[in-house]
Amino acid sequence: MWDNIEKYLPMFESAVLNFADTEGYPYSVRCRLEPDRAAGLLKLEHTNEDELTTGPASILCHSHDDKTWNQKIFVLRGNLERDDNGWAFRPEKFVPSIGTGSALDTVRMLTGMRRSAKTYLQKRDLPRPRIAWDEIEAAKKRALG
Amino acid sequence: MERREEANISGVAGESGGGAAPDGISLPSEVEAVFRGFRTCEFSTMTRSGVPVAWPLIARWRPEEGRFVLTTSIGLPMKAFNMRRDPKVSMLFSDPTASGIENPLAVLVQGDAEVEDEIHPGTAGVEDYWERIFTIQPGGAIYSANFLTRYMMDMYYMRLHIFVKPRRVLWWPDGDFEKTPRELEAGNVG
Repeated sequence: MWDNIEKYLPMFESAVLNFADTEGYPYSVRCRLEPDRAAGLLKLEHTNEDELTTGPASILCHSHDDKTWNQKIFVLRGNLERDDNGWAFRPEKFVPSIGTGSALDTVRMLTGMRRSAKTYLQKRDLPRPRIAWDEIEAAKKRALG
Repeated sequence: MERREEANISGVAGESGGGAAPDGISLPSEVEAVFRGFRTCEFSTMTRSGVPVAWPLIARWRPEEGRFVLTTSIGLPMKAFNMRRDPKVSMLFSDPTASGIENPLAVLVQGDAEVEDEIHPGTAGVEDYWERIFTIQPGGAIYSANFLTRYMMDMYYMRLHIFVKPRRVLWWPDGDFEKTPRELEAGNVG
């Protein structure tokens, strides 16, 4: 996990920290992360500490270009902690996605999507829907001319 | 804390010139500019184990309905499962790439989501959403470009519709998260 964090985190200027607020709603802020592999922590920087609460949390790093393409995404699951040194995120799992895994990961993601869709339909005893390609093409034409 | 401006989102309608929904919801115009201009939001749902997990999604704000429309493919159904179990969600607009907005705010919307059971294999009912996708992400047109990509990617178009009704909106001027956010709470929205 830490090899991946050290490889991919520098690709992003900042990250999105997600935790639950006192009412149980997700709450997200953007922050900078300073890895401390020896301590197993990512120290939080440049965010308002008044907003934070300890507990289960996640990190999303993502970016895209001006055409919302060339995306890079990964997620970390873990816990938000506070000690005398301040606030930090303790990662427990690295979840690769577009642009942050191997070519094999991309193939796995695509086949995983197909498998998930098939399972979703089978569990509900639904036939595979026929895509309304005419509607898709019409929307495309309205958008792109 | 001084950040809460009003107990009800409708309270700022006259000052801001923001869009208004039928039930009186009104948002500052600079907040709505973010909703219209940002390409993606970081959309968070609560997992079964109680971890909020975010994913970048394209959202369409419908001021006339006072809610957002989003979709997810049944090939990526986890967020739908999460919302059916716990409808509490949030949407952070914090990446201004290609928005064209100078000194944009960062905006967090917390709200309640409704996920329809019906699987939609076309654009009916959310034509505005799909036009938005093709406009800002023209490369996505490749998924329906020919027989092979249609065969491989048909699940991309099998969508569940998601509607999010805001209950609380916070924003950080200049996108500076070191500042205390300003806030509108919509106790009677929806």
